[in-house]
Amino acid sequence: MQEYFLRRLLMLAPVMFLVSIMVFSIIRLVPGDVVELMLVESGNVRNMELAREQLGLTKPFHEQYLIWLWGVARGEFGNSLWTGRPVRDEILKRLPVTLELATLAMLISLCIAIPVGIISAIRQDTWPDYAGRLVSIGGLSVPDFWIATLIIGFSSLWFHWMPRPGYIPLFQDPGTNLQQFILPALAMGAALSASVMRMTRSQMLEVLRQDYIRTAWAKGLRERSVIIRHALKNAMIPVITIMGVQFGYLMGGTVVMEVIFSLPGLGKSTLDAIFQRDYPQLQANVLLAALVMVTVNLLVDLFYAWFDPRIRYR
Amino acid sequence: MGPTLGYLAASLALVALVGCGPAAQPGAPSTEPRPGQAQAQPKYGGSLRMAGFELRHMDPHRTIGEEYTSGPLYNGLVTYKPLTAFDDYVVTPDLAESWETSPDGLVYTFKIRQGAKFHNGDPVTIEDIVFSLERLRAKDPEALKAYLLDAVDKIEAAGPSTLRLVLKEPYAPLLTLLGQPFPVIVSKKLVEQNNNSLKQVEAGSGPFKLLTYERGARFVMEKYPDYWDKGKPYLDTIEYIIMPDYAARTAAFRAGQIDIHDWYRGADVLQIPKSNPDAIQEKWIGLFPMQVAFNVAKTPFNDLRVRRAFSLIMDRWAIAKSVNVIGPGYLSAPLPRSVGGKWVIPEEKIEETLPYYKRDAAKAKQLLAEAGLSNGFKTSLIIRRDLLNYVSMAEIFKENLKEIGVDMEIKGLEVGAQTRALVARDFEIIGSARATPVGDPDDGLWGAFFSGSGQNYGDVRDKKLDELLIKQRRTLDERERKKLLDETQVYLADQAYWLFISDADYASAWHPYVKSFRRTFARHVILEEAWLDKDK
Repeated sequence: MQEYFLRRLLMLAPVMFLVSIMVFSIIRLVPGDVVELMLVESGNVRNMELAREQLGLTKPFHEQYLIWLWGVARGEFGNSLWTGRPVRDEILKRLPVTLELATLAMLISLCIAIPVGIISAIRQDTWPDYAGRLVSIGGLSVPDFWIATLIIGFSSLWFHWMPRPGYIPLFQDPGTNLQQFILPALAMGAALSASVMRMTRSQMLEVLRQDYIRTAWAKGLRERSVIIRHALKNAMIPVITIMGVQFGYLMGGTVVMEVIFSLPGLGKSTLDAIFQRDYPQLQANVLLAALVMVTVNLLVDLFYAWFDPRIRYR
Repeated sequence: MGPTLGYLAASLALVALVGCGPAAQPGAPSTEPRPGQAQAQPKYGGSLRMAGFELRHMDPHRTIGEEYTSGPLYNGLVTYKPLTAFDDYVVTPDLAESWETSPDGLVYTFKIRQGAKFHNGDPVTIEDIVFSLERLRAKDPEALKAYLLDAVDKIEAAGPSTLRLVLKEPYAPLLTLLGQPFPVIVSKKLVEQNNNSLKQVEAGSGPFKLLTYERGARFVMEKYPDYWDKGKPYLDTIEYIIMPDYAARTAAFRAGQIDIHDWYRGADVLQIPKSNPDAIQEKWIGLFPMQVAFNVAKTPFNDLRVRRAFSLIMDRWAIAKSVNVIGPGYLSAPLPRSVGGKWVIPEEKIEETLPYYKRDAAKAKQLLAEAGLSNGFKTSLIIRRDLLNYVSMAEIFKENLKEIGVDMEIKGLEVGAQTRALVARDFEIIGSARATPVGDPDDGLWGAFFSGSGQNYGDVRDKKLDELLIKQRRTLDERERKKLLDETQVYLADQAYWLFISDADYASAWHPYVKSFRRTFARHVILEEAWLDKDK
């Protein structure tokens, strides 16, 4: 088990290295650079080469890459080409927003998906099952931004109410903060819950057919005990995989909600960095997202091993 | 187009003249008292909340977008009178109490007021003023508005409270351009202490000072108690909430979470008065007109007949209607209202005054035949994919061109790619080649059309046009200048280097408790004058 853990940890390095090369190259292949974007309106084209030099963009590709990589190894991610501020500060400010939004969305997703999935499974092919599956198709099909815009639009139109705009951190004013986050989290959670619910349902159906469940029924255990203590735990494993992947996606996938609800998170920061060709910001954001994804997957795998004694890793 | 003004264009908004028609006269807004009614006494206190875009940084001499947010922190030599119609730029004293021009128009002498202080307590001295103007036009790649002072040869202190600007040649736009948000006065000491950068630090003397800037969340300014204009400002704080999404802003305005809603268009212009009947809305046009530029260096657009044919076949009214949504829309001339209402051709006269505006398919076909292209040809139009008004326009234009056998491919690019195409001149026809000019006609003409000029991406080299442009910027007499500008506009339409297309209604709205306010470009004074009639 420890061996497995160490092996996985070591694999982190080559994966991150590959990600760094990819993001570094791909963004530079896209036409247009930050200098053009800054200077085009002024027509200050004579100064473009000078501006590029000042920003270090005229050095050869591999030199730029090594300079950047060396900085990363020392924990320095450079300054944003767009604002001039340190990239690290921007990330530290925005990470809590995205984390809070992602966590709340996942919690809401779980609160909807697990109970509905279980009920769908144990009352298979009855109307609660149909209702649950219909809701889940709805959640998969309806875009979360549409729901969000409807919520904001109608609540302001009918009730002349809207949560106070302008992000307030959680520890500064939890009441307002939660008001600001609950609507986007609901919209996202509803969309996320669909796949989790379907996976829960199908896994439960499979597990409920197992012999040991039949034994539990035969032993005369109550329904709640059979479902939750015996069946659910075993059904959860693939569900947790999905949730791990979803969380990784959420690190950037919150961007639409961030724009609509004016929450300054990493998603919007990454999108802006792409449009502005802000290479250092983009590279750091993508590295962070990759790190989160890899770490979450590692945690999920370790969780399996701890959770299910049948699984032993060499 | 730069992203910030590009965002503005995409987000569509501008305050327009009160009135519904293209020929609307600048009318008094309902915030002003009616004749015979006593002026309400301004109340002190309160926090004004507005919605804005994220700032790149705060340095007024190195930016082209953020000054509208951080504007209240600074003073310039002059500014514009508040509470006018948005296209009425009336130059009024700011840090300069008065000024004189020499008879030949080459020397401007400004008398600087005494007693103004920076927010750190230091007095505003003549050294700071000279330093600030030099900094605006420094040889720095990021000195984006350096060209505003191109006509100025020397910037000198002619005494402890006298500034002298010596020009190379007479330059009519100078005073109006000095009122723009860029030539502001900063503290020399603070700039030098901060490594010549004001990106993260403010160094102003304006009615408000920076309280806090939480990136992505809000930009908050508070009243500067030692402001030189005693008794002002009335507000305690101004809070700019960073809200990039327009639907969210409309919702926030309806819910009373923001006090002013800036620059929206489309259905909201009709809906907001319905949902908030007591709110004051002002409509206006002339800030986001659409135009496309030909690459005159490439065939067949080097042929005048082809360009004229394109102008004749374009159905401008159809485009205007599709973009404006709530009404038939407007045609736009080379000079939009944002350069100053006194210089423009009235909207209802545009079609009859400018050649090649009235649609004529037969004539277009004939012109193409004369150019030897009666079999048509293929071409392409590059537009910004995120600007929906350009997308509408492109679709209609493509259909129009089919009538004369031209197959135009529409390439919808994102900002960076379109910018690259523009700068590299890698286009045949391109949209958004010019940011909307503000304040003076020269801003919209010189850069884009003078031979060899930096923003002349379409590669226009026309001697007659160059002469006209030089003449109009040297003519100090306004009536003469207007004649020259009319001639220039007619000539531009006649040569069809660019096609000027259409414009739409934009609006701003504010709640009734916001008094003494009108949305214009007068940087800080509009917020200096404003006050809240609330019981908070």
